[in-house]
Amino acid sequence: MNRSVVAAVLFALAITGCGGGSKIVDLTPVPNSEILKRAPNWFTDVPQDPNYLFAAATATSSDMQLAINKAQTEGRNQLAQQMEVKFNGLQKRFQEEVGVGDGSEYLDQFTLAYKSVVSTVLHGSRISKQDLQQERQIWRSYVLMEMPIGEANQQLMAKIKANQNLYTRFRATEAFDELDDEIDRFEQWKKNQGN
Amino acid sequence: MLILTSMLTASFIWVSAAKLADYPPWFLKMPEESGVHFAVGLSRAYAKRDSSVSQAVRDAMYQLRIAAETTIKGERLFQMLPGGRTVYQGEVFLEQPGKAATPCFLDTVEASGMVMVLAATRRPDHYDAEVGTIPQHAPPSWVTDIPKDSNGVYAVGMARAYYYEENSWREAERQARQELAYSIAARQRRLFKGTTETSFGVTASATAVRLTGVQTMERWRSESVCFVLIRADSGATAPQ
Repeated sequence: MNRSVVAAVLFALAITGCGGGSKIVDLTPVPNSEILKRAPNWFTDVPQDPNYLFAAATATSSDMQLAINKAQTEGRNQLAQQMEVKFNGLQKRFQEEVGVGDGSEYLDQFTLAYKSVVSTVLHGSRISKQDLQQERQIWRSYVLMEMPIGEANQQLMAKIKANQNLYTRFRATEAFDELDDEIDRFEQWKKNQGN
Repeated sequence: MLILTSMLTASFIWVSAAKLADYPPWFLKMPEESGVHFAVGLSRAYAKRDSSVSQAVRDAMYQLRIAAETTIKGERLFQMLPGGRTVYQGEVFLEQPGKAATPCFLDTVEASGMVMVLAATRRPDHYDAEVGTIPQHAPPSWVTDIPKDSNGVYAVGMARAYYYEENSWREAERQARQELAYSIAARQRRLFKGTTETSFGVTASATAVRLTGVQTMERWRSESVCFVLIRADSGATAPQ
């Protein structure tokens, strides 16, 4: 009995000793001050432009490609969220103006129009800048995504115009003026860019 | 000591550039001419050179089909765990190149353990295999600042430098084409659940685009990473 206990203890010690060389890699290290210092300027100071939405994202992985793909996906998630926030605000203002009684039909149609722009596909969401760094055993990627908001505004207006009744009602609101102003600014910006 | 080690490992990928002078000029900066598509076919340098050249020629013809037109459909899945860690849950991508074109082969070079064949859809009016830019060991600007113009869309693809280098370049180009597709149309679907303290969920990022005029513009490599800049016509459409 005593021998078998001693043998079991020795076996357990031997196994534990064999595992001493392995190290666990932290795949999501908390950024320390050195890492933050090396972050590109555009990551901490995201550009501002009325014609674009911007999203700065970072991701880590022991696989270089995954670090890049994760950051790209996170950046596009942020763009999609910004789009939703922007058009939710427009929807809320339209709702306040048309009311919930007779205007509820228009509100439903408007919601349908903006959801078809926001919730389906992001058009033109490109990587503007990127950076790739290796921190010991993991890769850290940074991406700055940009998306021209003007094109999304134009798509929304086109969807609304396709529904004549909704367009007539929408034209009488301040929400229309706001969207129309933004589209005008975008058209002017495109002319200035020579597009 | 730890800080010094991490700073050194962080900067080595940019500092120690490989021997770029080994590559032909047209491999690092592809020729450009209106109405002509260029492509490079790659093969491992086998003991029998004929085998390598045959494989590189076949690859060049395939790359020319992609250059003319290619349809990309795919989706990546990620899971966000409580605590904020994002986990990759797989992807599926299908790429269907357009019809075959009659190629014109312009040059064949063996370097870095690869055989490279430059092909075009027709013989360009102005082309000299020896003329090119001097390879730069510092990373070119497009590696970090992706170019933008009104006539096309650009993307940069990267891949680790594998032992068989042709696989690295192919993978970098594949990644660049996928990013091109995403930049034209990306469908983001998210489902998040959680409390004020923690959240978890899934993200599916899908794309389906037909690209035309897909042209590799430039290539560059550091000691450990291969970079490719590609461009496509801006008039991409959703596939049928």
